[in-house]
Amino acid sequence: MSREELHGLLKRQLKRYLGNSFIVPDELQGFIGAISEAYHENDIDRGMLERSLELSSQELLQANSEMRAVIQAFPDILFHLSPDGTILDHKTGFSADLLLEKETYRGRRIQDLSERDVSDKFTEAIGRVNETGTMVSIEYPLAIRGKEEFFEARLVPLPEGQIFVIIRNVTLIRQAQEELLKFNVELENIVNERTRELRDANERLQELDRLRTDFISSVSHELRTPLTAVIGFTHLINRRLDTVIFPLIDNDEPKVSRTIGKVREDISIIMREGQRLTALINDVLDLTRMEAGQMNWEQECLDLNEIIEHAVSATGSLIRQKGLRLTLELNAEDHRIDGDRDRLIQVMINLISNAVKFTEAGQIRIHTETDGPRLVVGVSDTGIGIVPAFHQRIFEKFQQVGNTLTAKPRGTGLGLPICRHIVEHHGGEIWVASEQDKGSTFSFALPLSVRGCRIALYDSPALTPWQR
Amino acid sequence: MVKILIVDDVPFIRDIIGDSLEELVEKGAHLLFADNGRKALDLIAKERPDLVFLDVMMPEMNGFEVCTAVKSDFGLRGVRIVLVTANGQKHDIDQGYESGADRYVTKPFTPADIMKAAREMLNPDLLPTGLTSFQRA
Repeated sequence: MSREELHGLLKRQLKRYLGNSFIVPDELQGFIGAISEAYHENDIDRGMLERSLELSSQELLQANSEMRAVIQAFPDILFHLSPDGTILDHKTGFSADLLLEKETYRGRRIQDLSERDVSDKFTEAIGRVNETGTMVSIEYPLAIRGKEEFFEARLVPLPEGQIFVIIRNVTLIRQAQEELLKFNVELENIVNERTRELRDANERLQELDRLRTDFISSVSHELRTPLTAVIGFTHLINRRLDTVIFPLIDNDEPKVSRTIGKVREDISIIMREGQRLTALINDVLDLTRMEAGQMNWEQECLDLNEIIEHAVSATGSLIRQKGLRLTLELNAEDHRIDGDRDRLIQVMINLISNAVKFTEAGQIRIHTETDGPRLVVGVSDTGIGIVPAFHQRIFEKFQQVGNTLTAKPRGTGLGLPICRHIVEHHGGEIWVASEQDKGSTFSFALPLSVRGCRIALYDSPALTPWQR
Repeated sequence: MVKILIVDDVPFIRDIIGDSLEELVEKGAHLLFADNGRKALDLIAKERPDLVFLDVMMPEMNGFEVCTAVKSDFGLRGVRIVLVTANGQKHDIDQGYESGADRYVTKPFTPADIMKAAREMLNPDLLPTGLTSFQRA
């Protein structure tokens, strides 16, 4: 190894010991070479370490700059305190929030910067931070240039009992919170007011509801009582005439005979019209209750075939009187439905009565079939039929087919609207298919019972509830 | 002797019911009348009628109240009550039966309705000959 190949530092050290003209003895060549190599390796390692330190410093500088930028961007005031509250360093945020000139803070105790109330809060907070080693938040007002501002201070513990304080002006947040609170109070007042109005309206509605119920009850009573006199006395008069008066009269005299006949006819008209008026009152009251939602609906498992048979039994005499033929084709396999038995009987009686009323000859056919989840019931007649213009209108109140000025109405005009209400209450629909002079089919569909209900048994026939 | 009490605040309704029962009266039935629930209850306690035709809507004491009072008195258990009312809704009828009524007739009614109710309610042994419930139309 030549002198030139030795590491510079080793060369200088050898030179210091051996003088300028040192010669490395042969037996030490290897040892000196190894030392020189070690110095070179050390240089390389140091270079790498310095490079690494340089990079870390740059990163640290970068991170520090970023943090400073972030802190600068904050509007908050930052204080770095000693354990007793002395300000070691600070960043003053918005100068508008400062009590003193920013250069004058360093070296003062934070407790001494403001009035006693605020100072006490800081003293207490610093004590708690020192004691617990956790962050403590306080809020306090400060009068700055004659204007009251609100601040929030967060005191964060640092190593060796030092404290970092972040102070933020929360006046706007507080104002917003107060506004929100005020708005909430106003909103609550409005809601309370509306609730009161709704309650009052509800009470008025309940009162109206009660008045309507009373009205229906009164109307029912006030109409039925005089009607009882008309019907009751007419029957009594008729019976007394037949059993007491007429047998005493010599009716060989043609005029007397004619008069007796006329009296009998007049009485029968009063009786018939009395019954019609009763039916009208019943229909009006039923429809009023249904429209007012005051009908007390029953809900039970029903066999619609039994309902049809019941209605047929109730209307049998009408059908026989007119000499019409009745056919039943109850083909629906499942005929169980959930509903109100009396009201569905009412539907069937109304439809059969209508069919009889408007059919002079031929037949009435009652048929059932299932249509998916529905049971469809039809009442067909061979009567006068209905022109298409009336197919929808007949289900509305007081709508009768034809000109009522030239042809007297043959019913109350309420039967079909009542049927519609009842069927629709059961979740069904009702419709008519008809051709003038050929006949009509009134059909209604009801949902089949989905729960496979058990059918209650009824004595049959039972025309009115109290005859059960 | 069959005793029948007719209770209604409307005089002509009492007359119609009474006249409807003419057939029974002719054969010995005795009719009593009351124009309100309170008087009816007094008469029922005093006379123990076999049958009462009882109006529902009446001043002082309504028919349901009278009915409940009669049916809760063990000593009056033999008195049969027919409620006569203008309210024929099912819940009215149910309320009538709950108060203990034996039968229900709604207004307007015919004399035949009243006779039919009387025949059904009276013990056949009490009915005059020819008017037993087995022979009704």
